[in-house]
Amino acid sequence: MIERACAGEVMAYEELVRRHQDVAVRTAHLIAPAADAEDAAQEAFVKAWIALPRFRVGAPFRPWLLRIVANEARNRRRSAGRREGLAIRATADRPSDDAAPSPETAALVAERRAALLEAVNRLRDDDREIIAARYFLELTEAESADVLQIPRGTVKSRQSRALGRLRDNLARGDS
Amino acid sequence: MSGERSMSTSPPGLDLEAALRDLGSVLAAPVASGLGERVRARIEAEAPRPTARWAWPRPLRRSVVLALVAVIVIAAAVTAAIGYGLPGIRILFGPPPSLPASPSAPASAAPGAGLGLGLPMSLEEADDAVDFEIGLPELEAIGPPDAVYLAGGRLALAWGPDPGLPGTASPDLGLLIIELRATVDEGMIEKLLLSGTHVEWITFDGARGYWIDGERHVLAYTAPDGSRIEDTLRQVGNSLLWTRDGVTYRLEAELSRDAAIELAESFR
Repeated sequence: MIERACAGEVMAYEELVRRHQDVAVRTAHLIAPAADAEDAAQEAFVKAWIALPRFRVGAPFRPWLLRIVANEARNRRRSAGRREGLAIRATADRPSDDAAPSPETAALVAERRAALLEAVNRLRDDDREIIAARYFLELTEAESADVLQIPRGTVKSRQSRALGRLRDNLARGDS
Repeated sequence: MSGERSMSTSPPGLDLEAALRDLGSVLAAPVASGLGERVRARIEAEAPRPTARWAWPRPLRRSVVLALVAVIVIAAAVTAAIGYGLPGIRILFGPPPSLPASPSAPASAAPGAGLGLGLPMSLEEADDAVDFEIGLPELEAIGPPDAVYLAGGRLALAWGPDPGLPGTASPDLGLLIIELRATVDEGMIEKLLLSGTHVEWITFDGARGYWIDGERHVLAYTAPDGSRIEDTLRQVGNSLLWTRDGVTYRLEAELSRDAAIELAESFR
């Protein structure tokens, strides 16, 4: 599919877009919550098409694409700013993985998630990006390095630094 | 560390990573729907795009190919028994692709703009970008192309309307040539024949190909890795297709078969 798209086949590229649109929009949203994620992803897909001849066939496509998405989202974040109420949000009533929790447990889980999310949203952009890449998008360290354009050796240290600040935020949020 | 009190509302330190993964599973994500169609429509509409730097390797054997092509051309157009599939080109019939009506290009637009032919660039840039020798017709009446486009590895050379040019099904095009690296493949010609379209198997100057006239059709090729490249961007009318050294050329013009072959033979 990727080879066909690289050869200029628009239909193949359309299929590639379809396969990656969810993760692309999600990435754009996590990096620039206040911007229109779908619009950013669409722009990134068009730019990726133009850049496709530079894509090395055989290399992993997803991180290559997400890097373009991340760049587009960062550009938009600068103009969109970080307005109140437009941070990353959790879905309202998605049940926990645990089967049929009691209402009390469900409430506790929701409260804990809300506190964690609030703490994530208070992180600096680069800390939030690495948390989003590793835990929300579940990218590998190598993929995270590609997408965020940081050296591979930096991923681990930046991740542990972000986790440390997140713990600080959580502690402050509780006090 | 966040201390004992944080245990009630936030996970203990060791569980923070698990808690983040759990959070990731319930994050609200904007719904992505129909991006494929919208992205394709934008690509086909040829919104102005920045010039990309292409990084494909330049062929080392360019001069060799050039020398081969420069060998005296022997016209040997042969009408062959119809019914044999020529390896290399597949021709598909089907409903026209659901193209958005091309916005009528402004009068000043380059020939072929708005047809979804690809990224406009100079001939020199295209030469750097493709991994094959670009073939150009060398007839007195035909100068260098007025516009060059590249979409992936598919090159399009476009000439505007001109009394010296044959003209095409598109009023703003005097001649259109498509070139791409596509390899040998069997079949598909039967469909063309079954539909009643006139197809001739032709050979000339060591190249083999098809002359197709009449019905507009969608073309498909086979990439070097065996995958299929369907050219859904554009249906063509009369056209001459030929494959040489792994590169398929398509000449689209309102020409007779012999005139088209004569033009193809002039390729250098």
